[in-house]
Formats: sequence, C-alpha cells, structure tokens
Amino acid sequence: MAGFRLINLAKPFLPILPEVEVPYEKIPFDDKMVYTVFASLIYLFAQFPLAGLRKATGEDAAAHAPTVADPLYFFRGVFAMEPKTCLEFGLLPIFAAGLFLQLLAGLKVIKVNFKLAADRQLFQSLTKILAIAQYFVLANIFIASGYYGADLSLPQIVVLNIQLVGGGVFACLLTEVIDKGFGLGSGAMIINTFAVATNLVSDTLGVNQITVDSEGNTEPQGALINLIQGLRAQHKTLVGGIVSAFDRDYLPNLTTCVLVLALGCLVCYIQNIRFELPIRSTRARGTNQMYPVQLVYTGSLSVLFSYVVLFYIHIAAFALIQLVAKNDPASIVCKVLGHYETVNNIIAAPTFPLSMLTPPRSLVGGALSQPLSFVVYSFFILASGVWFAYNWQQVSGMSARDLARDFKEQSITLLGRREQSLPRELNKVIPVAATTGAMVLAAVTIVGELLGLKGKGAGIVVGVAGGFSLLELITMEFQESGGESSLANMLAGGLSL
Amino acid sequence: MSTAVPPGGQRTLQKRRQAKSNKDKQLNQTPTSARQAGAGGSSNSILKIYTDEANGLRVDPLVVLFLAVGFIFSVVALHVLTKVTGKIF
Repeated sequence: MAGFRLINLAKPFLPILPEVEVPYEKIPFDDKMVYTVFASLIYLFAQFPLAGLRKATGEDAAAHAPTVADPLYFFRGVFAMEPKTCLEFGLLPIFAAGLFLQLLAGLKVIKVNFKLAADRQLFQSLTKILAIAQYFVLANIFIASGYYGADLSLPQIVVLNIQLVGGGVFACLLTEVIDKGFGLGSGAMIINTFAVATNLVSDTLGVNQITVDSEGNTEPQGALINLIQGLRAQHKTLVGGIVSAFDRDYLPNLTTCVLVLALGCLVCYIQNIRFELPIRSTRARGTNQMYPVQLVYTGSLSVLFSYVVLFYIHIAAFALIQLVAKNDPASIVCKVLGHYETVNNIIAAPTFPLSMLTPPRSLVGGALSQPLSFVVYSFFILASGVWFAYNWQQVSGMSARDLARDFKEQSITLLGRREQSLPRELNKVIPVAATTGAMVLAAVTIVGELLGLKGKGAGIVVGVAGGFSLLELITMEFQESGGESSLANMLAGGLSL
Repeated sequence: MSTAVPPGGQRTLQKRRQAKSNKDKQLNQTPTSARQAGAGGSSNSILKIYTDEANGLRVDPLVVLFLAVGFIFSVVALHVLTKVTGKIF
C-alpha cells in the first residue's frame, strides 16, 4: 500500500460535494458563449453588499463601528475581490488551491497518478474542498478581527459566514461550469478577466455618485466623469476641480487611469513578442512553416502565483497582528511584524517590517517613507514569478519533452536538426522563454505598482495577459466549430452594413 | 602508449544496462499533470481545474446558475428584512 496520500482526504466529503455534470454532447459555440457570459455576469452581481452589518449611523454606531480598515486593498484589483460584499475574497482561494496543488503534484510533493481517472477525480475534488475551506478560514479571520464591526452577535457571525462561504461556493461552481466545457476556456481566468475589464470601465467612466466629505458632497467614481463634473461642481473652484481630477487619492483619478491604460498597451505589445522555430513536415517536402514560442510562455499565471503567495504572507501577518496582538504597537508580535495604520478611513497600511512587502501608495510618498519596499517587494515579485514559471513550464504538460512528443506524433521536425535531438533543441528555447517572459511581466507589474496603482497595475497585467491566452483558445474553438455561429454571422452582418 | 579498447565485453554490457534502466525509469514515471497524462487540464498559460467528472452530488449547470441567482436574491431579501425589522437579529 502506498500509505497515506493527501488526495484521500477528499474521500469523506465526496457525497456532499456539489459536482457539475460533464456535457453529454459537444456544446455549440454560441451556447458556450451564452454560458460564459451568464456565469461571469452572475459572478459580478454576486459582488453584492453583505447584509447583517451595522450601518455607520445611529446612536450606538461608535461602539460597534468596524475597528479595522481594509488590509487587502492592493489585492482587490487582481482577484476580483470587492470589499464588504459576498465576494470579499473573490477568486483568490480558487486560484490559490488550483495553482498550489497542481504545482505540488507536478513537483511530486503530493503523490497523484494522473494516469488513473480515479486519482485525477480525487485530486480535483481536493482542489475544490481546499478552495471552500480557504473561504471559510479567511471569512472567520476577518470576522474575528473586527473588520465587519466590533463585538458582533452570534446570529450576525452566522449570517456573515453563510454569505461569505456561500458566495465562495457559488464562485467555485460558476468557474466549474465554465471549466467543464459548458463555457470557453478556464472559468477562474475568464471571470477574472471579466472583472478586471468591468473595473477598468467603472474606474474611467463610472457615473455612480459617492459621498466624499462630511458635508455630503458627492463625486462620481469614474475619473473621466469626475473631470467633466468637476468643471461645474459647486464645492470646488474650476482649477481645483481639474487638479483634484488628476490627484484625488480616495477614488480613481485620471493619472492612474492613464497609467493603467499604458500598462495594458505595454502588455499587449509584450504578448506579441515570439520566437519562431522553423519546422518542416517529415512526410511532405517543401512545406516549411514557423512554430511560434511566445515570450510570455506561462502567461498571466506567474503574476497570479506571486500575488497568491504575497496574499498568504499578508493574511498570516494580519491574523497574527489583529488576533494575537490586537494591533497594539507595544506587543511583541507587532514589534517583530509591524502594525496597521488606518489611512483615509478606508485602508489599513502596514508599518515597517511588513510594509517592505507592500507596494507603496504613491511613488514620491513611498520613496520617502518606505524606500526598502522598492527593493524587497520588487525582488519578491520577480523571484517568485521566475521560480514559478520555470517549474510550471516543466510540469504543466507543455514542456520541451511533451512538445517534442507532440511534434513526433504529427510528424513535424525542426528544420536542419536531427529528429532525435528535438527535445534538446526545444529545451534551449522553452525554459528561457518562460523565465524571461515571467521576468518581463513581473517587471511591468512592479513598475505599475511602484507608481502607486494599489493593485490596479497588477490587475491590468493579469487581465490583459490572461485575456490573450483565453483569446487564443477561443479562436481555436471557433475555428473548430467551422464558423457555424449565428453570433459571428450577426456580428459580420452588423459590420457589413 | 594507449591501447585501443576492444569492442564488447563488460563495458558495453554496463552501458546497455544503464540505458535500459533509464528507459524503464522514464516509462515508469507518473505524469506530472493531467495534460501530460493526456486528459486535458491546465496548459502553459491556462489554469484549468475542473476537467474530470468526479463523484459527488451531481448538479446540472443550469441549476447552478439559477441557484446562484437565488443566492443573490436571498442576500437581497436579508437586506430588506434587516431594514424592515430595524435591528440585526
């Protein structure tokens, strides 16, 4: 007997674990599109404010007001997490469980025999259980810390748990519906891309009015709308309105919008850098073609992995500081890790040792008050991204050896190389592309975050890079469907008008 | 003066044995991911988690979508309930 195996832990939970059915027949392209869009829309609607929280007004408001501001402000844009909603933790547990378990299984830390269907199924169930367990643990860390208000009553805690874990379970199931073949590509990534795109639009063009000061003056969320409205606002001068449109720090401003768009364009450019290997068929003569190897070989996954690890470092520190030391600067834990300071009433910024792993909130302010984080944070993102990319390209089933096997099956070989040396020749390109690509993508993320984008920089990198990977898959699927799509016909008809 | 090593003998046998054991090792190695085993799953730039139909409580995808909408509406109802009763439980 193999003894103890981690995947066997999933067995007792199987009867109660919801499992989406695999489609009986091939789903047409149009139906896949509908499933994908609806699942993503439902996810976005599930970012609904939590019920059961005390309102900030009222006679006992001061006693029960939340004592803890948002410590995860710079993860919000990366994992589609909305503060104080059912999806407080967004897609993070799903990404964390998937990336960690698949990487560990690939590195043979967890023993899974992927050749056996039973093992694969147990592994998949374990991933789901781990994701749901993370939602539960994270929710209770936040509830216990006082993020949702000090001294909550027992029913309140139960209701909050139901909403947060329920939101998590449904996020898991929605990604599963897409993953299983009802939708296009990968569920978690496509929903994340949807959320990044939605955030980008609402940060630029959002019209919803948010109260910004005690007199009840409101400003729109969108930066561009804010500029237009600032020109005729009653509580600001004309010049003051224009200046504040560019440098307000409580809501998205135009400077960050332009920076985010510039980063998005940069990632588009980087995505198109590829190394072309000349290939030829071993059967027919004179059919030379190019096999492109993308520079960003692991796509957005390297940045996602860096941020998952960073998140867990921060949440562990948060739990220690808030739950053990009660955020008291005199406590020994806070002397070692630092404590949280509330900024703008919204965000909780960590102080010295922990702040080294936190991107600065603005370039100049960061350079003056936390210069070390420029070094430590950058190094962390770079190193973890490159380490992940190197290992992932080996274990993900698209390594040089696997590609060589695919080439052989399709009777393709590299031009001017012996067929036996195919794995070695591919091995000269693919690990280099993966690590260099991860490094470039990490560098773009770091530049964006050091400029003070508070997670929006990493978000746009993940969104655009992930979007390109998905687009590749979707185009392939569309071509396989033979172009028989009424949606495409409609779009083409619309263009020809 | 070096003498030419005659072909065959111990060394060739050892080499053959080594090559064979290497080959066996590669054959016996379990794949590192579902894709390597030829069963779909994550690729180099796509993270795919759910590709097999595991045992569990089978649900239809449409049921999942409707239940998710139902969950959102139950949160809305909870909001209304707390607003109407004016207190939180």
